Amino acid sequence: MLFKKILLITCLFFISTAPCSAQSLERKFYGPHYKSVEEGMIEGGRNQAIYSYILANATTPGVDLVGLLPPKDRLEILKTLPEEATPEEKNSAILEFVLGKMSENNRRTAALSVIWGNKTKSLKHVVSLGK
Amino acid sequence: MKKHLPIITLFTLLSISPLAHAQNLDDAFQYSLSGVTAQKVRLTLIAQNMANLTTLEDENTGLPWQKRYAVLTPGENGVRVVSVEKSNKPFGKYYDPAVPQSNADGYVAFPNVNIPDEMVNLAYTEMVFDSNITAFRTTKALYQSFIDAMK
Repeated sequence: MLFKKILLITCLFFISTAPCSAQSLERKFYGPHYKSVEEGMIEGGRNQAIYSYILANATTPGVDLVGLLPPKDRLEILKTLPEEATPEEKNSAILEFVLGKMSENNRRTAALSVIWGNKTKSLKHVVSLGK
Repeated sequence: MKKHLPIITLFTLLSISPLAHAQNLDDAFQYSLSGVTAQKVRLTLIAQNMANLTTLEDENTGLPWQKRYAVLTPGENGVRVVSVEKSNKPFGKYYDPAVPQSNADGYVAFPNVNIPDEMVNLAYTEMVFDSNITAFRTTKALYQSFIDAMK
């Protein structure tokens, strides 16, 4: 009877700790920064799409191009423009700003992709050592 | 819940760009492509306007050449050329009774195309065209860096 109880408790323990073990295993494999690198890459792709959209609509009348920028960039450009500037005046300054931000975003995302690639390579190396 | 509503709204406004449909590099390619196409249409129309600067009689309307311009609208795939419109600005006129198109008073109407306007439009359109090409190249480079990372 006691043996059965111990067996049951052991089984319950393994079942209850299985996801945690999987998580810790994942954490061990990938490290805490793996996910943030991935998220940075996804955000870089999204920003690139936004910049492309703004450039595509650079000559479309009635579009608030500053309002389309990602929030961080929007705050940055609004600091440099006068508050009383009309949307047309703000739009006139956006082309160079977007090109600069696009270049910056490109370099950052490319760097993140290199980090991601290196992390994956080292992970592959570690896994293959266990064979 | 009501107490936190302004904070949630502010957070949402700050964290989400109004361009919810712009998500990845494939979208970026699509936007740049639409931008290049729209600017190409604008360049073609500017070239037409410049070429017809001295056209005193359009074979379709019988009037002097009317300035053409593209009507653009933002869309989910970037920008769209909705239509090509003719300008309704008044024609210029000069006195030359010898010209066959002159009216009873001897005045000839000439196209409502303004050369400085067209030149400024040409320079700006060319710049935006180049910007879209740069965006396309940057997206391509980014794509390539992602592919290289997976090798």
